[in-house]
Amino acid sequence: MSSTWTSYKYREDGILPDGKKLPNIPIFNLVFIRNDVKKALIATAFIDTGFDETVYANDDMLNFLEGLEPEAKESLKGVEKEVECEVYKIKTNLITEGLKLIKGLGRVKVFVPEDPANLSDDIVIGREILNLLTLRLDGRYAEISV
Amino acid sequence: MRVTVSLPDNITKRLFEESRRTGLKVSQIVKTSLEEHMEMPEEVKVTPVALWKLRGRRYARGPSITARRKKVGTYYVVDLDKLQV
Repeated sequence: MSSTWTSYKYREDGILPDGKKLPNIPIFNLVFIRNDVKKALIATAFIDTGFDETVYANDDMLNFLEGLEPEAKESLKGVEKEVECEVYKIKTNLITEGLKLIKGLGRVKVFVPEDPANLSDDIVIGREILNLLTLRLDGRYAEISV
Repeated sequence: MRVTVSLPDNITKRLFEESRRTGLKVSQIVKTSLEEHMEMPEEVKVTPVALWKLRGRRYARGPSITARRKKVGTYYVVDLDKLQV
């Protein structure tokens, strides 16, 4: 049976003050679903094979999770320090850029640092999810096989 | 409850400097200091706790764990009934 590939164009990451262009970032799109408030967060997810876990939150996720009780507390080991996190479990689907469902990922652990200074700029997806997928990265497009 | 206390000039000066620097109200700084001194952390009423902390500050401080300097992803919230997934 042949597989179908879904493509996501890399995002540009800007230019440093010294003029150096940062490498573009592979992404795919996710939707996080809260049935209790009938809301969904449609998000760009940054592929980070260096991140051991599932999802690391940014400020958009923080606001989306307001009012939910964390299911656990865990610490992540950062480059220089331990980052204490609240862990939420959120129903998550992989979607196309046109918001079409590709694959349900179930209730995914979302790590929210307790100190807002440790929030990521963007939502990051780590290997606990990436290892469930067949990915193809070529520097221009991230492709997922379903 | 409103209370009146006497403070040395140097502490009062530092208190107002800290208020200007952080954007927090003087009463909030005093309250937080007393809670820490008496080991009585305020009960968290908002979760995630980072959201609760952010609302007590005007700005988030410190660097992000990422090396990037700005958000480049796209994020928006929609009503579930408007979504097919």
